[in-house]
Amino acid sequence: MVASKRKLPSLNTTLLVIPLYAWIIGFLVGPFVILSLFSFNTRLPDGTTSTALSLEAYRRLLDPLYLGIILRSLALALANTVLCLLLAFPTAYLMARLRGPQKALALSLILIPLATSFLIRIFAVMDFLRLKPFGLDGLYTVPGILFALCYNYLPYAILPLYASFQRQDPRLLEAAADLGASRRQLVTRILIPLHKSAIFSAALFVFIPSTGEYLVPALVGGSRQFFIGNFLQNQFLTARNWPLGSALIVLLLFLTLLGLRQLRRYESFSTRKGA
Amino acid sequence: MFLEIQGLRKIFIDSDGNEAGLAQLDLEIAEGEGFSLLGPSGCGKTTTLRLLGGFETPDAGSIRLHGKDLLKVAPHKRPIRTVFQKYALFPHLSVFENIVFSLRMSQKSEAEIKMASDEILELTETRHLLKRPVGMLSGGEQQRVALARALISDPEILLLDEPLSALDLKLREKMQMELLRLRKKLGSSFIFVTHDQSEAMVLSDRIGIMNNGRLVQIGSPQEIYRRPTSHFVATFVGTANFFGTELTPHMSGNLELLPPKQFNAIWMLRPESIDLRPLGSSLRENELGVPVRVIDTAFMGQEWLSKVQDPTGATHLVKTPGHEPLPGQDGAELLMKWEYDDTWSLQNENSPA
Repeated sequence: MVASKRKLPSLNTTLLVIPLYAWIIGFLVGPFVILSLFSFNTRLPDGTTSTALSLEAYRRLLDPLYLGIILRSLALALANTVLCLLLAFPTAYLMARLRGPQKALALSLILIPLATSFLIRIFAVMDFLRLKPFGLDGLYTVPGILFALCYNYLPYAILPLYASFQRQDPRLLEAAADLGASRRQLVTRILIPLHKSAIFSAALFVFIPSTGEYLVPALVGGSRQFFIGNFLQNQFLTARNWPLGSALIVLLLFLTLLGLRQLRRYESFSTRKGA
Repeated sequence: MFLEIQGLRKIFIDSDGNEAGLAQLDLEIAEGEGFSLLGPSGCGKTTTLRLLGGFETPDAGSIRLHGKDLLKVAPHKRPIRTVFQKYALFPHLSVFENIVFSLRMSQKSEAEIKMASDEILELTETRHLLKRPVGMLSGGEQQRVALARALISDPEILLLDEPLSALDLKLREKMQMELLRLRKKLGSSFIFVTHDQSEAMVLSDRIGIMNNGRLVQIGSPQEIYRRPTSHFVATFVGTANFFGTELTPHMSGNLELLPPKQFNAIWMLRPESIDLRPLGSSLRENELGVPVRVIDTAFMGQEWLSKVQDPTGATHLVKTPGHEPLPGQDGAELLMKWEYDDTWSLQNENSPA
């Protein structure tokens, strides 16, 4: 009786799941199918799109100009990820060690900016960069963009690491120190391997959205710095070359999934080796 | 002296705002000795262990090993290893990597690691566990791995925090024997922290009883049990019966008891030193007797545990051999007798003086 119940989901369960699937199909799978169809079309000189099948858009993506934009975007996202991880790791570690009201305060300081509008945060960063902090001309430069990106994405790196540090038995560090591990070895031999999954999650949470980020480069970078996000915006809204934009999205998604799979593989491999 | 602790102090404020930790500790421990710090929770025994291991810095005092100031040695360079209460094995490493962790940290060669690990795997009987993930080990197996990990670099002192508390009774008895064997074989000093008196008695040459951040008595298990110096030790280690009477050396015969409050010194008697006989039984020389009434009796297997009441109204616990018949029905009037030599006099902490 119980077993059969478990195998056949009840009507209620099915009803509950329907909105979820509808959402995924309507807003994720559907648009993606439409986009991939567009990517095999071509733009006509008058700005409309022909429905004839062609690989023209993909061929144009290989143009060094576009390839450069893709590589620059990936490099920027990678730099942002590394920067966020370097800052988030010690921050999250210290936060997890705090007690009582101090911990609540630290968490709020991380979470409150997340609750403010993204645009307001970007304008705040722009005003800050206008003050030439660190004596640098930050606004409309690549370091400025990187700073703004890092500022916006840092919480997404801190939170998974914090959750992981929070769960860790603090005695493991004492045990390692007792067994002769230096401070450096505590980080490289215990903390990093122990929290590898959280580091991967944090890296993904930062890397994936920052590859397609377009508001930050558009606003903080001015019109001078060109990245994937701006390129897409341009293709869809200004140049009206939907096939080219779609082709880039398909390529990006493909690269992201490929990268994810490799990461997964590496992670499960090294976990198995460790265990 | 091997290990010398002088004036060691570490006070912290607990969550209720009270002072806790270690108020004052002076202690010497010999090479190869098994020593237990025994006391109720919050007595400062764990603080002591953490100070020795270098996890805490003392407020005052010194720790010397072979005359050298240990507090000047970085914690990770002290020849001291700890076995943690819940073992704290590294979940991301294999059993083997856990065991050889300290050798890896000091960058020993593969050949040295092989040699040292072969020996310790044999000694701690952990070779069959190597292939298993740490998460798949039972409590006893984790204990062995934790021991192997701590002992592989041949520490001069091994600190063990409640080492057997997580194990079930059968396994605990087996591991007690293992720990004794390992200590004799390796010649390291083992310092245990425990609140379990039987564990302390089995494992150590000497026991230090702690209360309220201080050592209240140090001695061999026999001394602690038979010759406690305070009411606290008498009742914390084993069960103690107290009574007040005028007692002179080597007297014998029936005693007249008075409420203990009237005396500066009270007498202590362990439950197993007492015998229960029919009223009017004769007393031999050196034997003392008091009439009592049985309140309650429980059969414990090895012994009968009887609660009896003396004429002053005080109750006593009596253990009589389990292979003998029931000492008496509830309510029965019996003679409680014991030998003079089994009594031990203590300062009466409740006396008016």
